[in-house]
Amino acid sequence: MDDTPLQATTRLSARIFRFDPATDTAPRYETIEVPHEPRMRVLDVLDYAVDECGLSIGYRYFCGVKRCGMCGVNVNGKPVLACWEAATASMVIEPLSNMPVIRDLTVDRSAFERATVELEPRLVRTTPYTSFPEHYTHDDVAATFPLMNCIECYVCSSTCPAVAVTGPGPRDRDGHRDFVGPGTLVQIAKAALHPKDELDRSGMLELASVDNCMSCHRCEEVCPVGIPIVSHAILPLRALAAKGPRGLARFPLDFAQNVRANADIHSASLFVKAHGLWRALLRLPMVLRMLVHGKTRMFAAASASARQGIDAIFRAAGL
Amino acid sequence: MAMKFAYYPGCTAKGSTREADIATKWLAGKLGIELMELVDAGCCGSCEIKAVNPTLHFMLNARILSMAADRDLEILTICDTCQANLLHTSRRMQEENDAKKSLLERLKSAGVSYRATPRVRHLAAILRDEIGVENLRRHVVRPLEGLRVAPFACCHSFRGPGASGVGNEGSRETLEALVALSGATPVAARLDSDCCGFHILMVNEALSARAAGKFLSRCVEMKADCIVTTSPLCHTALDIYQHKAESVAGRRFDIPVLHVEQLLALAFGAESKAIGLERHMVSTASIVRRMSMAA
Amino acid sequence: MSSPRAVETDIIVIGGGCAGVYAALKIQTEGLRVLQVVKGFLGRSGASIFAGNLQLQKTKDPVEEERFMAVRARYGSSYLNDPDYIKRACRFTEDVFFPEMEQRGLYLRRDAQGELVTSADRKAGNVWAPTQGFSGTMIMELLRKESLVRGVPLLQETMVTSLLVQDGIVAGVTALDIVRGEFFVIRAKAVIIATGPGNYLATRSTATREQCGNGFAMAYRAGADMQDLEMQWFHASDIASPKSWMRLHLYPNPMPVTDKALALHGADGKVFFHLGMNPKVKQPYYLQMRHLYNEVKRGNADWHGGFSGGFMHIEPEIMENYSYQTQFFRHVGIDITKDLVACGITWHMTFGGIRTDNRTMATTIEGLFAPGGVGSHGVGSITYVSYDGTIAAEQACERARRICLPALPEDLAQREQERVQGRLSRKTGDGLLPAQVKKRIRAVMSEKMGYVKSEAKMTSALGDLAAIRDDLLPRMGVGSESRTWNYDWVEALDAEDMLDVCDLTIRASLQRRESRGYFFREDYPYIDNRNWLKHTVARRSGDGVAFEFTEAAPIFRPEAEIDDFLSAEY
Repeated sequence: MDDTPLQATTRLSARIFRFDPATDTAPRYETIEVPHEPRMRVLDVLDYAVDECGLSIGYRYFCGVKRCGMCGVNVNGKPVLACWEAATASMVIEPLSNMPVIRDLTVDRSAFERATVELEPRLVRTTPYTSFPEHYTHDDVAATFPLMNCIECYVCSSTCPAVAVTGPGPRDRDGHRDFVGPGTLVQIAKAALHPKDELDRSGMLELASVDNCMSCHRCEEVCPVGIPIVSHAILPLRALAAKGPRGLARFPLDFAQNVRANADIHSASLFVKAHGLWRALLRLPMVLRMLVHGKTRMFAAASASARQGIDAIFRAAGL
Repeated sequence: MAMKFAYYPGCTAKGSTREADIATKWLAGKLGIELMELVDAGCCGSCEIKAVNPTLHFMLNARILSMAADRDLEILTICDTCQANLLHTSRRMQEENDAKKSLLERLKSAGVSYRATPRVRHLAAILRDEIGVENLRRHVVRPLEGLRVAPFACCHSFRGPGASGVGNEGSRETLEALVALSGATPVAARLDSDCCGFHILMVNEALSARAAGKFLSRCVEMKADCIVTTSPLCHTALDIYQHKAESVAGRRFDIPVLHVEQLLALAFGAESKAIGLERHMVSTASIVRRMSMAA
Repeated sequence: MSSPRAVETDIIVIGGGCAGVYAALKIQTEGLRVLQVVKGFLGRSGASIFAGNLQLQKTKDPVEEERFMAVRARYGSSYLNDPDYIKRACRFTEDVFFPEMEQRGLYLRRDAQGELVTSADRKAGNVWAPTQGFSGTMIMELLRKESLVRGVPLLQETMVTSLLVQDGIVAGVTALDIVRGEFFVIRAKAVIIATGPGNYLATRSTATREQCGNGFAMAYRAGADMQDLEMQWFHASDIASPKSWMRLHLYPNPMPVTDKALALHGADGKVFFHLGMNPKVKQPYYLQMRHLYNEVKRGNADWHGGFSGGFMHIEPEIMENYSYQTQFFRHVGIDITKDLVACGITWHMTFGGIRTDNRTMATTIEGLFAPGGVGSHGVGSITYVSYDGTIAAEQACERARRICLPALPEDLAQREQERVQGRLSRKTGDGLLPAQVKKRIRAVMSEKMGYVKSEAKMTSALGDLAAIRDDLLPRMGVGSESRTWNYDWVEALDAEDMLDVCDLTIRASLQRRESRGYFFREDYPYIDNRNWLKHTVARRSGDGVAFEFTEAAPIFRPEAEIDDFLSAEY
């Protein structure tokens, strides 16, 4: 929503990022003044820059109304969709982060798109499809319905602190890969959480470093569609990945086990469980420093009553 | 002013960042806040239990809420992740729907009679709401003049389903106000897209450290003397693992990290040992010297 | 001039919407080589993503099928469509499209009992995947994933600039890679052109940014017959502001769950159009336009404002739960339970297009097939174009198996490369950027080729466009000669295509001396079924265009020979 009420007579200022890698050594900025019109969007500002100011700014859009997902830009440091974001009095318009700049505001999304394709985003049935229409109630699709409006704009992935600055790299020989980002994971979750999906995705997901999500919720904060990304895509996918055959993403299970046994987290034993004894021993210098600074307890401290109470909760939750 | 709260410090403040607990108790003593610690409360589940079983996550937190409710006390937290988990759960438990009914039944079978939902606030919000910035300012005997402090609000305090408030009553604004009242100069080094990386420390330490390093670099560039946090988890990532962030970034940071309780306590006259300043991995000696304090 | 990138394949598919993707997937299944070339991104632009409502078909009941065909012929095309095509497309929709798409994961909105959510008047047969206004986006998302995972060869952000046709036979296409500025010459045995029905030729248009008449232009220039280009649809109720939201449509169809629909209000606030005025017509777009005309004439509206859409009589939960658009109104502070939404008209899809045989999708150029909205056989349903794409693919495959790769017309390819390269030149003197020239073209069409047409306005429009071609085009140029993602360069090519298509459309409009459907001539304000149950057919002739007329399919006939257009119900 607009922060400051803008009247029709207000002139807005837009400082726009320009860069052509073929000819420029460094980015530059061009500033224009735009007469405000009611309900103006950032996209209208960019159109004005070309149509009225005669600037050859490279920017993408197709639909103008939040279907194509292609008009993502950074405005005053925040990733937005140009068609959705209101124009304000003073705007710095830059390309999305975590994606190589092709020209001006146009970026290369292919690393994210490729990651989505490689993680089997299609519904996979083994039970044969019978006939149209299948029987569903609306509740049957409660897990995927909140994700359906995701238009793969990758605004979320562009600002995710767990995504590499040039986007997720390709899979290595063993299939392991960088964190692919929330946008891709929402796309995968659409299929994975569909009631008819029958693919065991746990192995694929643990290799996709789903567990690298920092739980910072930045993705949800910026999502122009309001997708509940963490609760409805990432957490369910982390739960699936935790069951993966290689045990790469089993940390939540180790954590849960540690809580069950100790009531409070016993970080020393959790550290050993998570890293394995060898790797934990290699960290001995750090452990010693922590001991010196009083930063670690060797022995669990919670009472028996606490542990019993916690254990009862686990049992009542069906575990 | 008589104030009594059910105190839920969280696992980390009882373990690797015990100085947060120590400083909290000093501050509480100074300000007349009575803390009744929920000793057998157990872990709030952090961000891991919800990735195993959401029902288990809500139940663990509901049990903690009921322990405070049984004592007719509101909860005071000093960790933003605990705060977010408890607040999110408290919102759930105030809805009237089948999900909540099912949780109540399961809790009962675990021996927890959930009767009421207590208010849950971080110490920073309680100080702001119950004492107020002006009254807090009156306790300042050692204004931290000239100290440049970069506030690092925890992601969970201002986004996600357990986030506290928006606008001027929000957690970032509150933290900034606390820094300012102590006499220090806030340095706006934190970008919205920053995260300290705590929750993946045991899973991908290098990636975690890289994330922390982005913020730490900016602090150094903007000439902050120290960082202040409201979460022992952020503190762990930024202090205990600062050397890892240095090795990933290929540079030194050497920037001490204070808990907000310690910052306020310093301004209110505490001595360094009384608030655990010697327990940090990144030495706070420069702060101590700066404030010409006795060790 | 550097040598072009030379590529060879069996079949080229131009366009990345439903028709194009269905065609490409079919070709790949048949085991032939395909290359899909998309100006934008696969499944992210064009009319397909805007399909708002889907229609269930009941083709197993012959009475119901016949009824639907009659309805479609009368209310959906004013008797210009071929009902037999509709029958085949509907059968494919019921037998193939819906089952296949549901199998892929398409979720048609159900209620708590598992019934498909439709409007209260179940006869309309509308369903939504899963919200009104978003169905096409969801369909294309599933098709895109299918296509990318199956590895269908694809060039995106690559603009086909011409069809290479020699002796009436297609031999391939030329294309410009927008990202790197490289010129492609692609040879093939068959070409499927599926560039869609929408063309951003007027200031307000429902076509997406990149749809600038390129498909029509390249086919026409290559010598294909074009048909019924004057039959241009309009939307009456698209949001008036902000400008960038002109494609935000306020649907006049019956809403989910209820039988209520949007009402149109004049400047005086009173309702001048609602669905109840003619209950037989479920998709009353063309009726909205006629009633709006009366309001404009009364001074109670104008084409680009002064009238509004109202949802206040519709239960808020329905708008909230079932309409994708509702969030947009809220986002700009409109409370649709109390406020009206100011609207303007927009140029919508072209009913006509490249002349096709609707049994084979063949055009008058051998080896060129035109499925979907770009063809002349119909428009307005995403499900039908899946049929089109499948048929076109089958035909193209049959051809590709039968013939050898046609010889490359080197001189044509060379001249085309020179033309394209020539447009990468800077503007001279007080010359304009191509985007600015396009804006002027659109302004002419908006002003003089809007809903209300007359010979005087159209002739004047021809003059304006000729002036743009003679005065502005020579001095038009790019801001920079970089080849990297140079959208000025793309828009320069667009400007040329737009001038060709606009000129042709106006000339076709001048030919039809009657009114019909959305085509309204103030100088001929009647539906003339005696003389004009016909198609206009246009083809290049020397430097100009020649017209011919063919009879429309006679299966259903209107009762009156002459009808007053403004009061007719079809």
